Amino acid sequence: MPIGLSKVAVQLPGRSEPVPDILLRAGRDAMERKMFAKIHGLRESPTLADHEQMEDLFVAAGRAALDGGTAGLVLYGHTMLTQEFGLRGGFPDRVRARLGLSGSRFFGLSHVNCTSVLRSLDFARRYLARHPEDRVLVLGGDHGSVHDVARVIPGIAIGGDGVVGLTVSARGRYRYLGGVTSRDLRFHRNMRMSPREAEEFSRVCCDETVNTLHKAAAAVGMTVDELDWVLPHLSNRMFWGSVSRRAGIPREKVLLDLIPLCGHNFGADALMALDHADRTGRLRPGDRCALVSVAQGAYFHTAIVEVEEDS
Amino acid sequence: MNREEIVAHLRVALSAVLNKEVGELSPESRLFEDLALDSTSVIELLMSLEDTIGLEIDPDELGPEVFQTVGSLTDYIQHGFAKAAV
Repeated sequence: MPIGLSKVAVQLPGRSEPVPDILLRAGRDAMERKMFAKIHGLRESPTLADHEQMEDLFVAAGRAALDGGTAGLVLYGHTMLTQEFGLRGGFPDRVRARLGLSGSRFFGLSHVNCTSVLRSLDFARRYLARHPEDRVLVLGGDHGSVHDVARVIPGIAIGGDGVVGLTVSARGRYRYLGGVTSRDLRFHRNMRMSPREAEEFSRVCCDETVNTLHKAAAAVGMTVDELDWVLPHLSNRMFWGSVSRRAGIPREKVLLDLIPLCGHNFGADALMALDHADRTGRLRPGDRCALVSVAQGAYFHTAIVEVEEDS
Repeated sequence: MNREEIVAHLRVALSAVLNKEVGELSPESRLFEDLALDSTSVIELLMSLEDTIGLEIDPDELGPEVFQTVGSLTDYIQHGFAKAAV
């Protein structure tokens, strides 16, 4: 059964923090701070203000995505385990109540790190195969600023507090063509990897991201040459230079605009890039876009969507 | 700047980054396995060369393939100078 994704509702907190300030607080040295700015292109990270709550961001994103409608299922993809479920008991009930979805089921999707949000699309498709008239609300993002130790991935990225919401149903702004996922559990130690494991992880990340792109394109009957856009995991600029060269995808097709503006926001990245591409008028009906997530662990996911005719 | 001069500067920069005297470098010397660098220290090395010899790093051209050996890193630096000269 074909399914579609609504436009993506992005919610950012009211402030952002300069990346060098976060690195300094985390005890990272001047050279690493320079590297993040110059090589990775990371400058700002969305950060909750003292008076803000993540829950409010999720509700705002969900409300915008629902656009006055309803959904029989809510899927919340998250990377960290110290997120709203863990920090504030009753989170699912409150979100459902505030969204008018008290009778809907609510599940968290985790333990696949930053691929959790895109993986939710496949679970939504499975659900809709049995409930074709229903809608699924997908929420994604993490409270990165809850703890600098979890937020700073040394030498690679910094996670922010941006969140996304979208609905999945029989039709939408984007036709969902399919998704491919892969994993390499040699790197299950995540932040506790040894330097040697971390080096191998860097190499494997590039290779497997390219492989997943090829497999996802092939699964929907196309090649990566035919992709109009790659909407990436926004961890850092250098990584995507390597992927672009390795995959033979021109750099201008990989939308990295958001990296200096709001950087990496865990599993929300690719959908934030999709929203940015749409809002800045880059997408045309028929354009096919690869949404890519890369996660420690290691997990990789590519979803392919096609832009529908404007309604 | 020719390759010999680049390798000489690399050796000085490597000694500073690794905090120990580095001997002769061959093009086949592997940065991670033989010289015990990691990806952060390689970038640190390149950024120190920006300060000392005026290399301009183009982040879009950096990747794991650059960081394989002394030879591949020298290629990247030489290419950077060639681009700057155009």
